[in-house]
Amino acid sequence: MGRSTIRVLFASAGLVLAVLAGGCAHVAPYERGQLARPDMVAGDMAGSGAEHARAVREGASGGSIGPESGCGCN
Amino acid sequence: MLLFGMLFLVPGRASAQGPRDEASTGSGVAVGAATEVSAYGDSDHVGVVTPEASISVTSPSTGWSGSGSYLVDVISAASVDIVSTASQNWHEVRHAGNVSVGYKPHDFGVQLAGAISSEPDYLSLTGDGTLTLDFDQKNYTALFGYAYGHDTAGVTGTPFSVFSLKLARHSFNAGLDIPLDRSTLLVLIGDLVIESGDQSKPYRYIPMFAPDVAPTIPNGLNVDRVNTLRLPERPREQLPLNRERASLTARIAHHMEAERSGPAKGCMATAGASRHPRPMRAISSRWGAASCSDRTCGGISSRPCRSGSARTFPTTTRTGNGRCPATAPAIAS
Repeated sequence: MGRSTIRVLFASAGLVLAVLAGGCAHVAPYERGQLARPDMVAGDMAGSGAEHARAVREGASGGSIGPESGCGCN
Repeated sequence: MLLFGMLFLVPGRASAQGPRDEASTGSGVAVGAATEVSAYGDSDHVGVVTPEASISVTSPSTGWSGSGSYLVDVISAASVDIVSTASQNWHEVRHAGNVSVGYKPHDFGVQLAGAISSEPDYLSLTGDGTLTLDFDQKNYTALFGYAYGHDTAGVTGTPFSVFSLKLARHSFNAGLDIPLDRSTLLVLIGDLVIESGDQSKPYRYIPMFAPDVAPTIPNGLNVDRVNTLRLPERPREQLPLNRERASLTARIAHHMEAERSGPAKGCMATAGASRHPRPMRAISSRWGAASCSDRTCGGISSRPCRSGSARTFPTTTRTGNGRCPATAPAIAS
């Protein structure tokens, strides 16, 4: 793994820790109405079409949960 | 090379909550269906139209869920890759589908999924398993997943039994959902992908030049000039037989009040910033903003950090898309 990759990883981890250091609130079950909305998803909001186009142009993968079949698109 | 892509999404969504049959099972079933059509075009003369349909069935009280989707990629291409190999402009159709089933009665859940993608010269099969665990009264959700993919690349018109290249892909991922407050969700996902096999494109050839000519060839020289200066030998592209990818994804979703009326009501838009994919195993990232409003909703989500490989030259892409959800009468289950 190259040095630049390691630097980016550490920077990303630092960003996440900074966000977490801002405070994680304990959310009671009866307070999770907003979090249960369909648009509060862990996945990319761009949709499968945009996701596929981006992955093909960049040769990139990852960042989502679930099976991703390959294609000879690039 | 500057590439410009536009994506237009025209989805339709319908969902219904089935009646609760307290007398028999005491459970209800939610059925959802969605459609999406996207279109892509760029300055490299590649056009793709992708209609997709999906359906999901969920029983919240028992913990069972299932979903499936099917899409078709209708592709038309006359890109530099095609022109440089003296091939004709081609049209192709790719069929892809996936199904998944899950069971999560309490804090522990399991999901199994499979996906298939089929083209005249490429077949991809993927199986995936994911475990999820909620703790601290579902304030945190951890997940661990493994997927195995088997790809077969060939040449259109030639059976795989005569010529084919195999690729095996092992994917490991782990994630964590953290609610920061009642309206904000943080999602962290890490991926590790190990690929082994020949990923070379059977249609792609490497131009060869005489030793005294090669230093005079600048990057991005036009195809006609390259064909004039190249040697007659055309060795096929050969990529590394093993590759590892790693990515780290961070998403923050925050709910906010949005406009309740006006032309933008009910419409969702996303915008992607331009980016330059970096060489293999580097990590690139970008930020996007999205807002939506059906009644009162809104959100800002960050784009994932992902690893990628710029196979040819660095490119810049800009994408945009929009969607307006269409409601349909409830479907009785």
